[in-house]
Amino acid sequence: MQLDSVHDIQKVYRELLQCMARPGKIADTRETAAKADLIRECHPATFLVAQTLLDAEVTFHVLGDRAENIRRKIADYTFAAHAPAEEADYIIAPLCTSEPELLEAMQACKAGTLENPHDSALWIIESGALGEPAGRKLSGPGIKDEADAPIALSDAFVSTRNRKTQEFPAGIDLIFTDSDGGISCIPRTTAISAKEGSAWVM
Amino acid sequence: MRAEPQFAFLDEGSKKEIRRATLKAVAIPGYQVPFASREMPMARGWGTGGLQLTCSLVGKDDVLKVIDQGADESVNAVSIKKLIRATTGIPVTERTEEATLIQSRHRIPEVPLTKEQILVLQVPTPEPLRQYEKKESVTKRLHAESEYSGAWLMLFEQIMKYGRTTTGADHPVLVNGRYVMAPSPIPRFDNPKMDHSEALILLGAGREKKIYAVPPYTDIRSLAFEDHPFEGEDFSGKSCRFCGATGVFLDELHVEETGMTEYQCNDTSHCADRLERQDEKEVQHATI
Repeated sequence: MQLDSVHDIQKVYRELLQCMARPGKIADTRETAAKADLIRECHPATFLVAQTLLDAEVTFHVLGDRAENIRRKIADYTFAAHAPAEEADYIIAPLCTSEPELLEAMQACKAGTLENPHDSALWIIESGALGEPAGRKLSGPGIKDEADAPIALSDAFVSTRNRKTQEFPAGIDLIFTDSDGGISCIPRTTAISAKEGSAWVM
Repeated sequence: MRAEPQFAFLDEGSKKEIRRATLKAVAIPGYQVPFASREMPMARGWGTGGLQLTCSLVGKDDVLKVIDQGADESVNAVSIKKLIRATTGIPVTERTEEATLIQSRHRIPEVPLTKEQILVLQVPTPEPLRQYEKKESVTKRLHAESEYSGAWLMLFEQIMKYGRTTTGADHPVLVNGRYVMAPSPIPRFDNPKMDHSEALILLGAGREKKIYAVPPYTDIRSLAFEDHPFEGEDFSGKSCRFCGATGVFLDELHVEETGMTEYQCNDTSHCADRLERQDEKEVQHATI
């Protein structure tokens, strides 16, 4: 079956919107993802999110050593132009991206300004299965009391992300995708707690 | 030959742009994200911002409710329902509980919303500082610097002149402790419903080309001074002349024949629902 560019994309958008509004929530787009044309180098959900948000009016950047094929496919399907990480509106980090490369790009990417905080990069990060116990808690707008982080995040990742969002309203928003059609979001307003049980190191 | 209309009226490119702006709006609660407001088959200022949000959201499984100043049956609500119905074929409802998407002009329904629902509010003036500062470039900077003296000053002047704040509707709120936001011209009575709402609230201003949002479980505080706390409209001791409801937003009516002032529910579907249930009860417990 083919992906319906009106109705299937609408469904993905609604899931994405609810995930962005409720950080930590994990949406299941498996059924829709099964219809999408595949790019061997990235998750079906990643490609779905790209098709939902990208067009010729925005730019994107793909990280990782297998970026070339993903880049070409996304450009072919969405007409979005590829740009350096410092300028891109959307940054895609496939599963194969090394952490140093990801963190370097995160330090360099657009975070918007205090006047125009919306002019910031939206990240699409591929991860292992979402919803596994991650040992961190999320809090902030969209979360009643506390929510579990959808995915294990390294200390280096969290501290780079926190540095990028400390000048709120400027900041970056993250979308995580897994191989099974799962989607989850951590917008800039979300506070990520330290790992549970980890000793506090000075 | 008649061409089929595009699903939900807007072309997919327009929807994409509105969707991108909406996601940013949700990520930055209370910040007005600019967007390329489209021409709609309706005059700007009649809910084109809300309508564009609705068109970008709606899918085949949705059930739509549209309210105009509390009423499901008035012109603005009916024409919006007609357009969505004609271009999507989805069912419309008047019952708040049945709706998945609720577009509203200037009221938040009396029935508490759930997390499965999305509330879309139509906004005429999204900028809470506009009365104080005409230039958009300046108000943008004021928001950037979190410099809200203007909003406080407006309320202060009202208190000095009239002894209380006189914002009939659209009383400014502070979102998540950061942005001062116009909640759209909902009565002050509805402001507390935005605080830690279960449902996602999206606000669209078509003429002013802005989209902003209040995610669920977000702190919303109505601006007020310590010695002049915020107060909603007070209807204590008053009830609806049809269904007898208390603790809801009431319209005041002057009845010429009797010279009396009467009150009735502003949320018409809530009132009709209550009346229906009262009828059912009467029939069930009827004794002859």
